[in-house]
Amino acid sequence: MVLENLFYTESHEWLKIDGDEAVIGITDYAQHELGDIVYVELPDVGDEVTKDDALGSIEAVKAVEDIISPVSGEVLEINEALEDSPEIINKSAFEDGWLIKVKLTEKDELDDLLDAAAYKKLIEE
Amino acid sequence: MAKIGFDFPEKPSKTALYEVEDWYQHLLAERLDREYQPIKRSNFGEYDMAVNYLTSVLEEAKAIEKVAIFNIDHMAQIRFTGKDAVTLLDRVLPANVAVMKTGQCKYSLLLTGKGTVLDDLIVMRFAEDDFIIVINAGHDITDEARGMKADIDVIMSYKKDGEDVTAKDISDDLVKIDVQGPLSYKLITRLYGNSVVKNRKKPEKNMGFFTFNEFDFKGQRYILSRTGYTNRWGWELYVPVQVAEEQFKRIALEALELGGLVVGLGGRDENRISAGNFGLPLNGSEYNPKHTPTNCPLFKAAIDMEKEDFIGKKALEKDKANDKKMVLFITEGIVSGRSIYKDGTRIGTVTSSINSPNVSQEKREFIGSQRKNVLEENGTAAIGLGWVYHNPFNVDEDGKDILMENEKPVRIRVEFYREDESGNPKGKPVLGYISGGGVNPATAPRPLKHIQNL
Repeated sequence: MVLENLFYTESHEWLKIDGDEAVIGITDYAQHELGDIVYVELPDVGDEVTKDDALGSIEAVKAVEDIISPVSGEVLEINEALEDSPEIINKSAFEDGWLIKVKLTEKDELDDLLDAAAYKKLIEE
Repeated sequence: MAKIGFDFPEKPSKTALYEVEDWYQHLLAERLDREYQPIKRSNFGEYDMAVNYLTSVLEEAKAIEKVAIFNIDHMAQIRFTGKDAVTLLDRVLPANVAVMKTGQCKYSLLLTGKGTVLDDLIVMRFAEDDFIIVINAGHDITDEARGMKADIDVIMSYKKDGEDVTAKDISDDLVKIDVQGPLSYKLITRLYGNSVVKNRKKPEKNMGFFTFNEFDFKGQRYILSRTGYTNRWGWELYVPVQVAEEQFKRIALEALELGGLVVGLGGRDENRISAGNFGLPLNGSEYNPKHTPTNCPLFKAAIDMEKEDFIGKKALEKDKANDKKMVLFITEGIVSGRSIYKDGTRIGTVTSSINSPNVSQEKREFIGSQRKNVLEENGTAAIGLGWVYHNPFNVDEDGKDILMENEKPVRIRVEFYREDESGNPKGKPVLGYISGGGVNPATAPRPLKHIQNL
């Protein structure tokens, strides 16, 4: 499943852009590949995230993966529900399973993102 | 000499149960009222294996509390017959093959001349001059360009001229299905009758741990060994390929009836790490051709250092003073790719790590983690294996590790760090401890009377 109105990365994060704010999550494909998610490590509100650096990690039963920040900015909000129920990501990766909301500092970083068609092609390969 | 091992396959092979696993996947969708999805698969030893079915790895790892069924058709069986088969196997393998009785199984290793590990295996003796060796997936391939030599070719390379030994890979004839857990007795006897689990010489008694029977069922010959890769009560069943699909269906249906599941590679990995005090090593992870098995938990079972000679013996003798140790640890999260540190010093490396639903709350709380999933009721913690450079346990007068003190398992707190390019620890550590008490008790060697009336 790939949603049309989102941007994507090659490391399977998605972004929903609204003005200079972005909501970031991992894709449905990524959650399916990972399997049962048991723990999510997120930054704190107010932290800075940097493009291409790990903003946190997602731990599934068999593996732990860094979440690579697709953009730079300041963390405005984190999905606190994930602390109690990380499995929300398995159930709803694109909606309830969002990770963080960021205030973008480098808007031209968005040029590097994939659109839905390009991401679809990537995961079908 | 011409090779016997198979060519490297163009693409990962399918097991004989590949199609019927999809039948099972549909059955799960119907029974559990979940949406059907194709089975998640991964290449393991050049076989396309199920990681898990429609049930999750965690659900499947938990099935061992009742009965867990595994498709193990990727593993290979090689047969050695002839008057000198026993001489050859005894020359090569570190176990004392010559003293094995008919109907006995023996765990052993295939070593290089340097004492490092090529494979681990189980030898079964069918007659004076007839042995089957059960080996790991992918160890049936001989491909010089890839540096792969099948176990069968390694062993036959030590045959002397004029010796009467015939070796054959019989894996295509047999399909291995493992049945493990306390309800395995019930499942096996319901499907194949009570006599199949009896001692072959004293039928009034149950068969012993590490023995096997052969039996006929509907005109087909089966092998049933009281062995497994979970260190819980259980069996490994070798089904003739012609009836493998229908027998898998019967076994899977009975397992579901008993509250068990068919378990993929994910759950299998958990079940072998949570096995007994030390976990069970996996070839390619805890064992590899670069390292000796010195002080691995099954060393004494697999290797008879009193034997006059075997391939690798001299090297192992030289390695005797090596103080390294394979250890089991319980951690707050997965530690793959990290190193083990104690009081700021690197003490070893991680070779396996997976999240487990089978770690008791007390064992999880001892980690000292703040993670919710570790602390909550029915939570999870990661379990893993690794090698440390020196034995972390104190030893008693006889040189045995002290694993219990004041009736409590010895626990050694450690931290797991990622390392930078120069090998220095970086970032936040993952917390955990080396445990002398393991995750789940080893029930495999215990008498069957404990489970035969369940």
